Amino acid sequence: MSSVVETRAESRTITIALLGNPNTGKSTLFNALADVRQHVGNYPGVTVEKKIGHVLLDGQRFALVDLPGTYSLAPRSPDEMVTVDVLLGRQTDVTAPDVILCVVDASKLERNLYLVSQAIELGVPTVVVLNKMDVAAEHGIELDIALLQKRLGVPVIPLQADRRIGLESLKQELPQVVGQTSTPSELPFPDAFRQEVLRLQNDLQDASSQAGSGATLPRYLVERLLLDQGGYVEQADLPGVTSELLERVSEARARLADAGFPVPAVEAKTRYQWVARMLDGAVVNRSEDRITLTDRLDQWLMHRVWGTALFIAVMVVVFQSIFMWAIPLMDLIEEVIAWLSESISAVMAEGALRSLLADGVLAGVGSVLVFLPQILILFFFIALLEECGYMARAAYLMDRLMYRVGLSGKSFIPLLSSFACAVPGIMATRVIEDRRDRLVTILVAPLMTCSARLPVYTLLIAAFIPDQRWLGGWLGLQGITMLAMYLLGMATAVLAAWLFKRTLLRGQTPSFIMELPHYRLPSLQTVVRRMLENGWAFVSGAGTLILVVAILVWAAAYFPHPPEIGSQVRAGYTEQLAALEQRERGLQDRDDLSEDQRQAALDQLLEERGELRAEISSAVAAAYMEQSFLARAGHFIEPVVRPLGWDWRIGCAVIASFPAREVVVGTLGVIYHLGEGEDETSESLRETLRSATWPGTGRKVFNVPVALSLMVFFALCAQCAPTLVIIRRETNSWAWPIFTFVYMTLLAYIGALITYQTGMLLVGS
Amino acid sequence: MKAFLPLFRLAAGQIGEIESISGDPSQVHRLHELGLYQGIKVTMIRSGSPCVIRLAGHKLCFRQNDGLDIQVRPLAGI
Ligand SMILES: Nc1nc2c(ncn2[C@@H]2O[C@H](COP(=O)(O)OP(=O)(O)OP(=O)(O)O)[C@@H](O)[C@H]2O)c(=O)[nH]1
Ligand SMILES: [Mg+2]
Repeated sequence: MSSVVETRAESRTITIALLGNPNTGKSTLFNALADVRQHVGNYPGVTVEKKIGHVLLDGQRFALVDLPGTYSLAPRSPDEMVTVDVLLGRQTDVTAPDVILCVVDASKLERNLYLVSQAIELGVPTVVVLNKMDVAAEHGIELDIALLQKRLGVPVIPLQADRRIGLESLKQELPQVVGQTSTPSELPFPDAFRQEVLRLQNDLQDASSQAGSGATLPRYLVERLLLDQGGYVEQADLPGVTSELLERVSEARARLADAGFPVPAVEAKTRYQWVARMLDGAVVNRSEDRITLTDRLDQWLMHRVWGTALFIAVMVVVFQSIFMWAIPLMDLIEEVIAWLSESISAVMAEGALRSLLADGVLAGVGSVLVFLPQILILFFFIALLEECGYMARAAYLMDRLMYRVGLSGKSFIPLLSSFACAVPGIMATRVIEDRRDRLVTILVAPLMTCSARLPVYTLLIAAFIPDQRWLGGWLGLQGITMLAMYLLGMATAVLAAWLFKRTLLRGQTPSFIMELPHYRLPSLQTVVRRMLENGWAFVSGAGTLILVVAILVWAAAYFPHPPEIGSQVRAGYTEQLAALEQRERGLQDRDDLSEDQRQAALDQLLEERGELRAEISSAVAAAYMEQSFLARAGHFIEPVVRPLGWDWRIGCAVIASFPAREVVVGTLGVIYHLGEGEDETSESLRETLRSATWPGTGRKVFNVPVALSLMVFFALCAQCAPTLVIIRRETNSWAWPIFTFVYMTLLAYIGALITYQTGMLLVGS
Repeated sequence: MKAFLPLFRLAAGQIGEIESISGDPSQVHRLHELGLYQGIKVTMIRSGSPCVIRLAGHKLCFRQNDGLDIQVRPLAGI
């Protein structure tokens, strides 16, 4: 017995690829089978990258690959080519799959089998899973599974992945199909067509043996070459695909056209005819057009008036909760960080290391963690709305609006995610098929007010916008200012998108097609899991970078740190200290005072001494700040930021926040010389900003126009390195992140300039 | 009365059989893959742009651009 297990354990891992239309339940099945979690969502296109997990069946290790959903294996873009390459074993990071697990929505068989017809041509052992059998039954669809299995020539297994019904028979079936060839009762394409494919394949073989390269193309890709006129495969730079071969391909197409198989129209027709033959008699649809609960709900939820009203209500609830629920959590996180920072200061000796830990690392970690509640709440709602099926309706409702600026409803979710953080938002743009639309969405996503902008707004609004309220406190000037900053971001995004679609990325607005899934009760477990995964992705991805930046900023604000500066400043206070001591001694010598009076006077002195000490340490911090590298940079750029109403210290904080905008609050705290790592709700930083003056004058640095100009700058500027990195990754070029950076920074500068200058005209200096 | 009309002209509740889809080949191909092809019956659920249609068990939301022309033969309404 044990020997059997051993030999099996030694044998190689078998790879299973999950293929299927979007939203058929691949990730759900993946999660049910494997021990690694994967996102699911009742929204087409939830999985945007392939994921790998493992499962032990029958003592044998299987690797599972969850692929993004696709309607077809006719690649039109590099992204779609990845799926085909994975399936054909042409991708270096994944071994060729031994089994293709085709996940099919049993209630939508006609369309789903189209993909199956392509999958079985790949020549890889295939298992078809009929998922969502419950939905099929609800729709009155009856299936003859044995007949279907006989016709398709591959195992067909009914399943309900979300309740794990039928999972056992799938687990039993999987080890058996390895190494078997699938033989459908008939192939989709007729003989004449297959002959042409064979002929081309031979041509390729000859050419490669002549060249001695030995490179061959899988049969399926040759077929695609023939079918996809002007398609991606032609341009994909495949081995052996020369202009000479393409010549032959067009000859072959001409012959096929003569024989009554015009490319490309022939593909869909042939495949759907094959599907119809496969399903004939195997599927009985008892109630084709039954009105379902989904239909009834849609009458309201997609209604032009009621649906829109509800959509707005949903959005209000989402954003309201982000602010209401997150604040106490954020306060708590801040308190914990502050407490830790104090503890460190208490136990460690003064010096660079303590400063690094307390003001660099902890302040950095804190500035990341503090957004986590808001990000989690937003992701919770996104997962919830997606899982219950509402998100597709929201995209429908938003399409009308998006269309005006030249985009489609598919841009809605990426932009919504960007309110938490642009990084996942930009990744979510992969569901947008049109390249131009996707680029425009990527370019404007960073303009959405992400949670990293909140600390700046919170701080400046609390400090400089008067707390005026109307309508019994429901409408406040501070709240309106916050809303205005959100609207500014959105309006700019709309304008920018509109402009890009008309200039840089001009092109016809593509058709917008999207499946509307059935509504379903969301599973809380799934929603919470997705929320946590997204939260973790944020912390580990953006978090590390922000931490690095925080440390760098700390270093720039700390060094060179010559020790004599501290003693010089302290020396300036010796007289005052001595005077205090003098008074204390004088007090002791007086005997005309009662014990109580003496005590009171002593307490008074002690307090004064404490205040003086605090003043001295602030002055020392300020003196060090003044000579730090960061301050030198600030002085250097002061002429540039003067027209925005900023002094060198604001300029400095803004420079420091270019890699990560949330750094600015901490930096302002450092620079306006009140202990480092100041947080935005702290009364003292607010007070310091209010009382800061231009050097040598009594004139205040901050007034309302200055605060507004700073906020506008933060609303529009691309101060986020992770975003730029992700744009580079998604567009595969440095040109776009550079462009994003330049256009947003310019916009920010101009916006801040206009705000300050008009503000000063109105206020009058 | 004309025998064919563009898909988006169907009134809500009306059923049509797709007669032809023409336009940009890659877009036409995409529609085919989504199950929109000649001979299939579609029900207009919500007209307008985008419209909502039902075909072969699934619902699609669809906004057609100028590069596409979908002609349908109207059948009985509900
Ligand atoms: N009614 C029902 N719903 C299911 C079943 N299996 C999965 N679902 C639900 O279908 C939705 C889509 O599931 P996913 O696993 O995200 O689908 P996917 O195929 O990975 O989707 P993409 O990654 O977008 O291609 C989720 O809401 C699931 O909970 C099932 O057997 N019955
Ligand atoms: Mg998935």
